[in-house]
Amino acid sequence: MSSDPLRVTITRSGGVAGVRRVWSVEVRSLSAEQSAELRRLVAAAEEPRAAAGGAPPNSSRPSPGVPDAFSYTMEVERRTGHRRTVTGPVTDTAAPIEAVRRLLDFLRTYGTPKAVG
Amino acid sequence: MSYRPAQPAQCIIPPYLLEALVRNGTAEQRDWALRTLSLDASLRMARVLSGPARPPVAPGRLTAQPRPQPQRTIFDAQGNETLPGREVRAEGGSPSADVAVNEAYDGLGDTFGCYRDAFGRDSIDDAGMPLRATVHFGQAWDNAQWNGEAMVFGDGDGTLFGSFTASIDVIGHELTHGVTQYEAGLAYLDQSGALNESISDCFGSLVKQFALGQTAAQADWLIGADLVLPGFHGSALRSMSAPGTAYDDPVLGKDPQPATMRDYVSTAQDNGGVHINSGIPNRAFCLVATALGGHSWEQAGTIWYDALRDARVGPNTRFAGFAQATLRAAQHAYGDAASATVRSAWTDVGVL
Ligand SMILES: [Zn+2]
Repeated sequence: MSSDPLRVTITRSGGVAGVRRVWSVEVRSLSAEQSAELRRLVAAAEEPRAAAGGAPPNSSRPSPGVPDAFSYTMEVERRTGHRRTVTGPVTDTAAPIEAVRRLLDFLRTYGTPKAVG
Repeated sequence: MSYRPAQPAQCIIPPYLLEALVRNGTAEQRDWALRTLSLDASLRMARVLSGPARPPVAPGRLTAQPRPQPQRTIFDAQGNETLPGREVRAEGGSPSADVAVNEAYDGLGDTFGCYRDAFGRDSIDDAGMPLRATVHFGQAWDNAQWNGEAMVFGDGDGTLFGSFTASIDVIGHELTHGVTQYEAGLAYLDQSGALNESISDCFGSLVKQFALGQTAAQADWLIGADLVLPGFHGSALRSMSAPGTAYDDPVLGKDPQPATMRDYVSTAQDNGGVHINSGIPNRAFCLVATALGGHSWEQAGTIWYDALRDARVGPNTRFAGFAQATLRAAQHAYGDAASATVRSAWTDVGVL
């Protein structure tokens, strides 16, 4: 399908280290089964409530975060053009956004860490 | 590295109790306390006598309560993400065979001791809050966090980062987020967030310097130097004396911290760059501590601590507002020369 992802990238910032980490996966490198799993995970993570951590997506003024929590930015590239979904802060120790966490686990398993530019 | 608390107080009665005696004791107690205090403490006493910065200590509490002691409990999440995990060491318990457990226990004690002996603070909330920490949280979790109630430590990814219990300054950093939560409540976004981060770095470094008995000149002014592994291309997570120089890594890129307002980074990531722009107030603190000399917690630390508790410093305070608070604190506690030193530092980093 034309809306299927070509590449999925998650950028993590924050944490006490304050360093950025980037994980990315190319769909063409995956088996048919893995691709189907990735589509399911992306759809779940793009669901507005999951993507925004409960807040309305793309709100103009972000709310203050939790000290040293990780923040994630998810980018999904499709044949139809780029689409970006920005997630809110993810508090690993209090309120994990499961859909984003599962997608990140997938990228860590099947994708590659990228150098931060 | 093993940290043992220094013996900072020559007198068996800690300075904050002496201050409380001056405030609330009988005439005889007050005379004795004033005589006992050192010159430095006497200068601080002028502030205590004239300023309302610290809440008065109830007279009954002075005589009835012993010196505050930490109440630590360490838990082990055993690689899971369920808090708090299994209790593995309580206050006064024997050391564990697990290094991370002991590092967390000692780091919490060092932080408690620094706040108590240098600033007269009784735990995170200044009311004796028990300290709880969980180690081995998650799988390869490369983070440490104060979650509003307790500390959580990960083991690191094993390539770039080792256990986050290894750096005492990171432990001090995290617990200081709790102190800030109870004091100024700086909002974790943009400049107030970078200030929140900087306060944690400043006091995190002070905890390490206090535990090692170092002067400002002897301190490394690095954050996280003890948790980075050989796979990490750099010396630490951040450098307070030279922001932007801590690392240059093929995976992580180059340390993005600015040293002055001219290079302030506007970004939507990281809550508006709170871990990036903290380099600016970090350097101001380092400049002040180095210029004033001696032990950083004595004057520079006191100035920053008083500023954090200044009634005019609140959730939305920005760099310039905090700088003004440090000027007031320096003037009040140490007079014109210290105030001029503080102004010079903030001017150097482009905030004033
Ligand atoms: Zn922090």
